[in-house]
Amino acid sequence: MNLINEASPHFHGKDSTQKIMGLVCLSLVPTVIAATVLYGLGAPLLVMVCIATALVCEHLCCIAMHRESTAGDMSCVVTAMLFAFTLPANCPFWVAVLGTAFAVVVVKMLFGGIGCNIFNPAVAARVFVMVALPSALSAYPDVLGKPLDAITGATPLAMASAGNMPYSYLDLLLGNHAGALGETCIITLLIGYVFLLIMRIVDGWATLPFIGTVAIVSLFAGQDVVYQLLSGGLAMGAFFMATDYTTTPMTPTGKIIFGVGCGLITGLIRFFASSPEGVAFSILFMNMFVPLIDRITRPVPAGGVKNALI
Amino acid sequence: MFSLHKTQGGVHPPQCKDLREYACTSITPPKRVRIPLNMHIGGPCKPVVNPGDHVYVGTLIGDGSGLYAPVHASISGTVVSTDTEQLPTGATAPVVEIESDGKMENDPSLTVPTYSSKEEFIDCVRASGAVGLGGAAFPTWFKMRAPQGKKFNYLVINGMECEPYITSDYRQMMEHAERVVDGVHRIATALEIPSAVIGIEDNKPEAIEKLSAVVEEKGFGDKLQVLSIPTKYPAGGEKVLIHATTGLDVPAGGLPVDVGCLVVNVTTASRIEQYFRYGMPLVTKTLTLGGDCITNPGNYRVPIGMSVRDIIDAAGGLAKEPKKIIMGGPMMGRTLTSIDCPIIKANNAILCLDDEAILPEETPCIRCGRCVRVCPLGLMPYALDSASRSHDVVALDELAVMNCMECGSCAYTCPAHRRITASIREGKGFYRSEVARLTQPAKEA
Ligand code: SF4
Ligand code: SF4
Repeated sequence: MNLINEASPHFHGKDSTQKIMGLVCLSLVPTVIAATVLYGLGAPLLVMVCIATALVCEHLCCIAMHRESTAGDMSCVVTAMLFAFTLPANCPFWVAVLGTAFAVVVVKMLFGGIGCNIFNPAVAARVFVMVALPSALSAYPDVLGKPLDAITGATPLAMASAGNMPYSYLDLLLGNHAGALGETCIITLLIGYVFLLIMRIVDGWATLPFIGTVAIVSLFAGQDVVYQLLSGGLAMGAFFMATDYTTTPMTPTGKIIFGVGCGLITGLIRFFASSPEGVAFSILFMNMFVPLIDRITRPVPAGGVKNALI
Repeated sequence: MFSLHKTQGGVHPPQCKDLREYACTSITPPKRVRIPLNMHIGGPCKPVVNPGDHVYVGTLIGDGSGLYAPVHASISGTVVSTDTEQLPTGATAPVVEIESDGKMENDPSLTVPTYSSKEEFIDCVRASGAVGLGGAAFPTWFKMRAPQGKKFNYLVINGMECEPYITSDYRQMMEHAERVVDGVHRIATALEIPSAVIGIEDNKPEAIEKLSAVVEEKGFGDKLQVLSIPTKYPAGGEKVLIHATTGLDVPAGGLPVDVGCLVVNVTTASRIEQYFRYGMPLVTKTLTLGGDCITNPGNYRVPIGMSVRDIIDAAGGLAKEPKKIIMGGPMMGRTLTSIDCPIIKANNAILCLDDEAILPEETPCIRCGRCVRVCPLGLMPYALDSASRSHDVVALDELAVMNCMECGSCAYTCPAHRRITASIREGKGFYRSEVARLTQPAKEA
């Protein structure tokens, strides 16, 4: 009889990294559909390009690092989709490829691969593209069917900071305006987030304080709160970036700190800096503090700690 | 008296308690038994019989000193050998091998014990050979002695049986409800513990009902309470149960007595009562024989020292070849590499599993935080895992590695299927030796 000899527990739950990441991808699909409706077939095509790039990059990195390929765990697909969402639908493919490669190779794999990266790869890549290739992203296409000369390229946030708010809340909710292909349709983003909440894959410990803090800061800055919450990358950031496992804190307390921090920085950048959008920067900034937040919010074990060394 | 307190963490593995309605049956006694003398926490006993001696069921064969529990013959016959051997656990201890005379005669010198003081009662418990039958194997008499300046306020009886598959405690409660309740009452009275609670998971409503009825019938209600506790693994862990019933937390590095609790497994209490009634020490063990590969699964009463092979054969053999055999439950049990090893006092299940025991490959931690959420003791399993693997003794110290009770909840829930519990177990060993080394005064200086 050939018996397996291994340590307990001998039962494991049925979930896997792949399954979780697969569900996250699924939660993003409604937004891809919305983007297709809003901005045309360029949007899903761009998403596909990013996904393909991410899979190839992750696989090649694993080969170069002499480890088993982790491309199959789908986490790079999530990264790719989220990164694609921050791009204008008419973004040149080479920019999308370059950004995705940066996300996967530099931000994720060079830091040690899944679970080891400090920065959110999609957000870091977005900022990288914005800084390195500003001209490629200067103009956002408007939704299909609108005359191009209307208010081409200006996003609602850019206009709001110029004191101009031509969109109704409903337009903002539906994404019926110019913007990054996956950031505008709040409704589908919300559907995806609620789906993940129901599947118990994410929670609201960081998301709600993030949104709440932005609301409070907008109020103090004398802005239209609802308009602020419905525009820019806030929904996507709060729903999908601030709930990323690897780059956010572990405990509820830590997540609240993270969310409030993101909200504060987003508000400060939006209203007091020259840039209309601050979500990406705020998330990257708070990413850096995650190890520290994790340390200071470590729960006290039941029965306390009896240290022998310190 | 006792009310339910909320416990943190926990998981819900499949319960697999299909064998609960299988009444406990005795098995044909084997031709020979091999009884190791280290079936308890503490030093192994020394054999007090020699090859060639005749023994009866219940004859003392191993005795010791300090932290130990005496060992008794489980069949009648002739002692074949008392050599020290290496056991499947890796430890070495004397093993008393007895060849049966086929009579199963009880030792005529056994008498019903009597006692007139707490000390005498504890001596009797020691003589009964009782150890923690839930799996801990801690000599029961030893923990009944409250150290200087401490006393027991609560007697907590563990009838949780939260491990999947195992139903031996459940059968004990169903078939010997009256003996269980008497045993609990006797322990509480003898040790002058003012109140006792029997904690039972709410997936065993029949047992709760039955024991409550007996308590009522006997009029023990002012002192003894049966408490239904929500089903959640590891609700039957000692510290978790203490918290659930009393709301108290055993301090790190401390013992239940530090919060005035004495925790006794429900079957242990029942077997102690049996000893006080009939004088027969602990020589048999009830266990759940389960898993897909067993032809006739069920709950069986077997002589201690009977080999797993003999038990499986006597119960009708294997239906198919198992991939994994587990002694104990799937969450905390140990795998066997050979089925020729003997059943010891603390074993309460033998599971012969097929494919369901094949675990998925380990992948990198994705920091999902689930392990932190399910740890019943509020530890950071993912961090302990990495500190254990990187041999970071300072981090292990900060993260309270020794608090971990190795319940397996974290590894069960991990989507990356990391062997967290296994690595923490190794980390504990490493930590222990490092602390001993670091805190020892430097010799060369
Ligand atoms: S459950 Fe597993 S993957 Fe999640 S944080 Fe813990 S160790 Fe990491
Ligand atoms: S095995 Fe240890 S660390 Fe893991 S859940 Fe149980 S007590 Fe917590």
